[in-house]
Amino acid sequence: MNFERFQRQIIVPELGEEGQQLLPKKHIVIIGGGGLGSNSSNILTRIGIGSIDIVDDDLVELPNLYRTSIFNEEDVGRPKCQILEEKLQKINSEVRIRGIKKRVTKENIHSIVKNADIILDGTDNMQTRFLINDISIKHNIPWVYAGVYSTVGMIMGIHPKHTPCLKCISQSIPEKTGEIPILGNLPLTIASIECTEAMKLLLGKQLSGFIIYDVWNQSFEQMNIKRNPRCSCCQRGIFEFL
Amino acid sequence: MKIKVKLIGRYKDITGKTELELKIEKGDTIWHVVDVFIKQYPKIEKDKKFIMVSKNNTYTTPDAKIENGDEITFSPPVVSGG
Repeated sequence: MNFERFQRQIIVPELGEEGQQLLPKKHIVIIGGGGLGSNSSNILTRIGIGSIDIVDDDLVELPNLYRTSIFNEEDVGRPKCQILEEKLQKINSEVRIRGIKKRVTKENIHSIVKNADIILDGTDNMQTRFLINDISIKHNIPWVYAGVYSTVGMIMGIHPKHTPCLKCISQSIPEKTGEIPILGNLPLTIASIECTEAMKLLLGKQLSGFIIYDVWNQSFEQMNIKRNPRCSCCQRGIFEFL
Repeated sequence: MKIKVKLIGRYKDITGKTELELKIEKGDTIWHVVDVFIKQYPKIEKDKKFIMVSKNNTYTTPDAKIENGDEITFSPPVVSGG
């Protein structure tokens, strides 16, 4: 990969030349290509990840446009993953981008993520997140959880056997009640933090724990939580969503 | 006994506090503490089943007992939009 484009990123001490050289060797699978997934795939393409799969079976709709920085009006009605593949490939032709038009299920998730160095959360529901968590813990593939609601985003990098998993922090799934409110600029902000945690996982750096950011009130909380010794998933190996 | 509960996210906005002091009996469970909290702040009632409670930096289940000196944190439920 041509490193000239990264000259001002390479001089960031947290990454450095060594880190920059590592990124093109990595393969990331992003599950979901909406507000979070489209913004993260954009960031990861630009920073020099080598290979990115974006898995989504939805079409772009007008109400998607206000919270993404990739889709525009002419994309409405076309598959999100296809638009992302086309547009992101133009940003860096050396990155291998693949849009996969599939709904992730317990039957197909292993074949989708088996070669991933990490999985990124771009989903919009807890069922799929717990499915990602199960496959991550079972096959030792790190992932980054991210979710948004109204003005608040939550992020947690999950490194199997080293950090708490999603099940450690959430024993119950909140009920989905109607449409989820989301401020337009929130997904981009949260996707940006999600990508930072992804880079740390790829480079073997210390994660920042469980992060809660309120983009309206500008409040940032970082909790260094421990693994739950009674966790049914990462401690007892019960993969109820698989 | 009295315990201190650290509040995270919108719970700070609802209560106007970063930390609460709650009166409980020795051996009371997390569930009881959540109940006491919600009685003081009924706006949080809808979170009751999903509120994330950590005890000494580990997320815990509602039946966990609280001992003197335990550090309790209440965080809003995990958010699910994308």
